[in-house]
Amino acid sequence: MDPGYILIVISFLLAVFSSYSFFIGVMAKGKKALKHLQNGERTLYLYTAVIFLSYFLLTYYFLIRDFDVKYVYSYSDTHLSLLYTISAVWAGREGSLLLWAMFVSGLNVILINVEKKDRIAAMSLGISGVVVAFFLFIMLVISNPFERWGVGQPIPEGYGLNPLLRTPEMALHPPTVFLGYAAATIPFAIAVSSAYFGEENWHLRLRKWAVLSWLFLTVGIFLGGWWAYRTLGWGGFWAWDPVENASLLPWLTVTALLHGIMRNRNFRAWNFWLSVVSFALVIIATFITRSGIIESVHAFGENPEGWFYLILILAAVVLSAHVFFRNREFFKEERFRTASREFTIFLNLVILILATATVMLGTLAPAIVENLSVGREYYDRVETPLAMILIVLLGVCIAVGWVYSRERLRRILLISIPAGVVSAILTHFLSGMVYVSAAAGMGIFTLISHFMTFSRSDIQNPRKLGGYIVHVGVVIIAIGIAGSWMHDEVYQNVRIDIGDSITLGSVHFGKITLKLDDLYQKDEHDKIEVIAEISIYRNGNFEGEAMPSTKFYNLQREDRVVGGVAILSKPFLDYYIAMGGFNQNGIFVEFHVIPLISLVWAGSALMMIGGTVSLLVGQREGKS
Amino acid sequence: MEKSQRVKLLVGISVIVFSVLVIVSFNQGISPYLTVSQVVERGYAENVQVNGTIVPNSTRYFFENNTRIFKLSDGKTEITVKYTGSVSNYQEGIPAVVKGNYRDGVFYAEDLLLKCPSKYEVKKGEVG
Repeated sequence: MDPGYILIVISFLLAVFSSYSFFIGVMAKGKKALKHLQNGERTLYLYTAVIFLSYFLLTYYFLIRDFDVKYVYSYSDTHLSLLYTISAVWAGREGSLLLWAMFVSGLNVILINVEKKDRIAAMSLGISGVVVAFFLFIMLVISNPFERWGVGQPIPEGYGLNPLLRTPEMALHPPTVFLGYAAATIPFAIAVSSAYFGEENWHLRLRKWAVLSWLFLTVGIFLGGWWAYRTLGWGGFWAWDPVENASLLPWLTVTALLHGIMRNRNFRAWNFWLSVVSFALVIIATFITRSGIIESVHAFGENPEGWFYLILILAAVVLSAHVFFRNREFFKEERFRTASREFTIFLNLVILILATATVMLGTLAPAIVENLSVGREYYDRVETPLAMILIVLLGVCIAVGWVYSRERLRRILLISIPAGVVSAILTHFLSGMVYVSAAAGMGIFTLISHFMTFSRSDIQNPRKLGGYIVHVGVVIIAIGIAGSWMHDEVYQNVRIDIGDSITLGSVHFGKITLKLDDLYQKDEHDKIEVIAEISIYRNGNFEGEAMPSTKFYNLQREDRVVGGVAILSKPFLDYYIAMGGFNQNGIFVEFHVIPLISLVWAGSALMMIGGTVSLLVGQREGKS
Repeated sequence: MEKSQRVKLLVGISVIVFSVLVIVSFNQGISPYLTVSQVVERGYAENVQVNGTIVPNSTRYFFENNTRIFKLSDGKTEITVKYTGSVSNYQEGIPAVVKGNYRDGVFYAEDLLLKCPSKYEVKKGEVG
């Protein structure tokens, strides 16, 4: 048995003991209680240390290329560079689960140091300790990262990391998403504990954890989209793939939660259940991403892991329902008027929940009904209207204000509505792109409300500032999506011979000429690369050069051939070339002209900045 | 009717309209797929979607017309697939979806979709 496995056994026992001590501690009274709580705290530090140790041990096996360890064999080889070798630790299921457990345990340690040490904190640590124990248990019985081949002789070479995953953004994507998932455990734990003890102001306590989860989910989803765009070669960043949807689902509910907690007295029950559902969704997401179960119903039956995840979710829901129904008084909500900020928040929650439900329907349907696949038309049709309503609602919501005043609303709308209409017409006149014009109209309407309600003194108010930055980001992304999804022009099967050029007449972007200047082979230590040098001209003017390629990795893997996408980015336009095939005379490419995709990245950056402002400054505020 | 009731009614109606939209879009957006064995069993099929895995070392690429001929397998049966068009990141051994017609033992694909690589698990038990 590998020492790593023993470490997992030890940390599992410690986590169980820690949770047990916390639970007993919060129920007991006096000196006894204190003793139990101290035990819980000490073992919390211990299990965290042991989990980190086992993680480092696994990383060590990767670094010394110990291919006798099945997991190391499966995701690395001797040619893999140092940084990708470190990132290979979370490339597969077993390592990801270990990372999950490590993140939750790390967050538990942070929690005990930043939060007031009361019974809410103690019970929360008990609950999240159970979650840690759960993942350790899965590793013990099904997904042991330390499992060895045990063939008795050294294995010289590993199977290798999927070449598609060898990009910086894909190296960072899994840990960011998993940190977002892990952080969603804490709001759930705090919500349940607070409801159990009937403690007020719980929404203020869970806020920073929810923001933390939201921030990392946002960064992770962005990295995934950025990677897909730059690597996969179909010219987009979001395909409504189950794996992508899996990370979007908790993002939607955590977003709803962050809005609901602004008015906890009106949305107590909503906030409680949003915390619970967010937790359930991160568990489902972990399961979907790392098991491929969504592919077919059979896989679910054959893989016992699925049942374990289901049991954890059921346990969370049953516990929450129990707490909820035994303390109905605690969840009494104040009513609100229709003409109020509260009502617009209510609509916002409804829309986000509808989006969650519909994305979930499309994602899980193939797992429930045999031999069924859901196309992206479904998502495009259902989610687009929701997104549009949400953008407009955002402007209205901001204009309404916390204290409703008819005059104020009228003053803002009298400017923002005409501004929106004018922007839409102007954009249409300038670009000719219908969907972009519509998005720009709605977007400007919403942005004007924001600018008109933001005064210089609000810079001192991190929550408002952070929120506003995120909102501006959302609007900019919406315009970028309208451009890059709806007006992407694609040319398939474009053949260019060396020295030749081909001219394509695009709808919105003039005449585009591609000239194949050179085609050559480059040998490197871990791969052979065939590179094409293409000059791009627009209406006869030289725009720049792009170099798509095909890489043949020196691996045992079957998926060792990778197409290198080349992108020439201009401020409002991307030229996107993916090589589809080649011989000694020329190449076949898939060519896209993608407008406004830069806005998607810029908007994402604003969302991340806004989230960070909200988190960091909000934290300082909480301490004072 | 009271104002708050009117609003409730409005929200209710919107949700119902939205649900209808969801149901319609869902019905149009879903497509049933066949396994490789099912296609072979039928012998002839038009406009179907087939899921399978691209068999390693089975691909032949013809540059003249940018066409690939490869085998698709469901673990039990294999079919020959012919596809013309650029595919970026074409890899063997990964799950793929083909849409098209099957006749005379050949699947003429009009569309070829490769699955996202993050889900792939290495088949255990294959050392060296």
